[in-house]
Amino acid sequence: MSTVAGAIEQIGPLLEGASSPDIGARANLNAIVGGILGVAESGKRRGDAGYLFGEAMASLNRRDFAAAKAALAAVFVVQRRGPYAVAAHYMLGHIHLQFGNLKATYDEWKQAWKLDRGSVPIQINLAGVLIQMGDFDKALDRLRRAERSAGTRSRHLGEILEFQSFAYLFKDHVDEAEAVLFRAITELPDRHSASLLLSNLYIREARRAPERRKEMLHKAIVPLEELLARVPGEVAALTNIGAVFAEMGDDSRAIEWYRKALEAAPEAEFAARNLALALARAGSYEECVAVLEDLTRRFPDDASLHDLLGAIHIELRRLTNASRELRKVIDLGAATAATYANLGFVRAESADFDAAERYFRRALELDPDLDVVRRKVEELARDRDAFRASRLPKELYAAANELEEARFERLVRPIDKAVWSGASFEEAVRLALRAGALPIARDLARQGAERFPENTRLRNAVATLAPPTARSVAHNSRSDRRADRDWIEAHRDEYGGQWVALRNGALVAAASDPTRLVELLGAERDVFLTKVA
Amino acid sequence: MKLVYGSGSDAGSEFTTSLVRYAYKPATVGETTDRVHIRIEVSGIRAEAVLDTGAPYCVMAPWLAAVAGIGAEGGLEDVTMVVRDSKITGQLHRVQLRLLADEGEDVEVDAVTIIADEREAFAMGDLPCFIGMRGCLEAIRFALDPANDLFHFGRQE
Repeated sequence: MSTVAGAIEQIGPLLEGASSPDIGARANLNAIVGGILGVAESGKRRGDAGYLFGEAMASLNRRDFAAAKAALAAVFVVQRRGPYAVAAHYMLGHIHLQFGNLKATYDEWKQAWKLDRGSVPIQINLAGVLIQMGDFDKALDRLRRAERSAGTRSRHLGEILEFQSFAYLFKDHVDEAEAVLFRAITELPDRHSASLLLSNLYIREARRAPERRKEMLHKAIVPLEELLARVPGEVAALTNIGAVFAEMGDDSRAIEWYRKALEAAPEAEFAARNLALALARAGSYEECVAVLEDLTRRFPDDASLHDLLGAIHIELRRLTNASRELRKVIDLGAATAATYANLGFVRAESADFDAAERYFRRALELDPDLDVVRRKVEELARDRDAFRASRLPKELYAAANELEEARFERLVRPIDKAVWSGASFEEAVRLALRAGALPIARDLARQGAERFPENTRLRNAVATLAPPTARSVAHNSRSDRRADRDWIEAHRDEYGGQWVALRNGALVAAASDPTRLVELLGAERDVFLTKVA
Repeated sequence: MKLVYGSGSDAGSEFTTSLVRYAYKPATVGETTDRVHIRIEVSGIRAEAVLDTGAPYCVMAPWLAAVAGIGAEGGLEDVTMVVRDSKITGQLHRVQLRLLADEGEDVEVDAVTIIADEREAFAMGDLPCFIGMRGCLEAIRFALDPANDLFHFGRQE
């Protein structure tokens, strides 16, 4: 089974920049509350609105929401209309937001706005809640009013325009959303998020409309390149260009851009996560492990990272490491059918068939449609029989499946092979090859074929694994290597990324992949095949 | 240019008979480490191959094996190996491959080769073929001249 494919299935690249209105951010809360209250006051007496509000803020910082609510209720007793009352309504709305209660948030913030109609930030956040509640027209109306109140030079204009773009986008008025973002980029060139949002808009459209996918993905790069021209090294733009290439299926270019983002900001989380996924898809497992190990150190409770790391360790045949990571996923309470299937795979590779079967059956309980696991359960019975028939020690399986050639050799050499059956030799050859121990496999096949000359599988192994022979042959190549190289240099731009067949510096055929190129060549020979880098 | 033993009982006898200028470059677009690339030929199709003395077997992409009439199936065992950070699974076959020389004779080796599984061919990506130590290079003598990017080789007597 394809373990990595299971772990990264349906995970798209993460995009920097909001994909929905960022209402209720912590920094936003402090800024808005600070704005409402003006310069921070101190030395309040117990029972003052300021003192009670301070208590509420402290409780909120401790995430003690009940105590925060009680303190805020007390604020209203002391002050019904002043700035602390406004801030208290605003903060109560925030607490409701923490629990996903949008309607209650809206009601509290509306109360705050009624007490302070000049507050543009409250108006913007009210619009944000309305967008999340699906009332886009009302949100747009509030945003228009906020813009009028704020004026064109307001520091809030960027936020207003971006929220407008969300409202239009969710209304499916893509052209209006695009126009608003164009305006934001033109009028507020220092505000990077508008460029990211415009790019994300095109990616969204590419996902929605397959017939325009290519066009939209190319468009998605433009605002990011323009942003990079203004702000070289802008991490979000570097990351998102990588994400666009990942969407295009071009993981090698995606990887290049993610690496650039990480060079600019080594702690960039999205760039690192996306890089890990792209490396996994590209089969660059060693580097993927390094990236994932760093991420799991930073985010130890993120089960998806452990899940992917476990799958990659399986690909690298590091079964002990794989088992450790997948067990963490179970401990975090986030195991999926793929997690259990992969653990079953690990146990089966170590000849621990009973545990393997338990994990496979758990995977099937969670997802009965996993045919590949169902087949694996059937294969287990056969593997168990082969294991018993071979009478080989379990440790040999673990060493072979972890590609531990030296360990395998240490284990297999001292075994008395006089008691081995033909099946024992066959299995031992198979395991030796799996361990990458060609000389041992060669030796075991020879010994087995001598003992059991009628065994065709062992005879076949002897023939395939025999030491190679070399012979000198006349130099028959008619092709001019220098001419081929010159052709590649001269046509790099035109044929970059394509596979070409060349003879004496002339193009014979070209195709997007080597299999197609070989088909095109038919019986044509005496050609040099290469990919133009 | 042939290399000869300079001393000992074999003094004056040939060590290698052929040489080829190798390309020193990354194996794929995304890689940053340079590898020694020589040219090989399989059934009249020439391709680049990375010299990898750490690889237990040669590795060949299914498209090149198909040229030699070898399918991914029908070989010996499913074998997995990790080459340059990539896992490759396939079956073992004997493949006649020719190491091409700029000077001297070519050398043909019946190499023990993994033909990458079609189902996992994605793992090969744009990787070239790999010439492994065992099952191939063990059959020849070779030496590298990094100052001149030359790979000297010849069959063992």
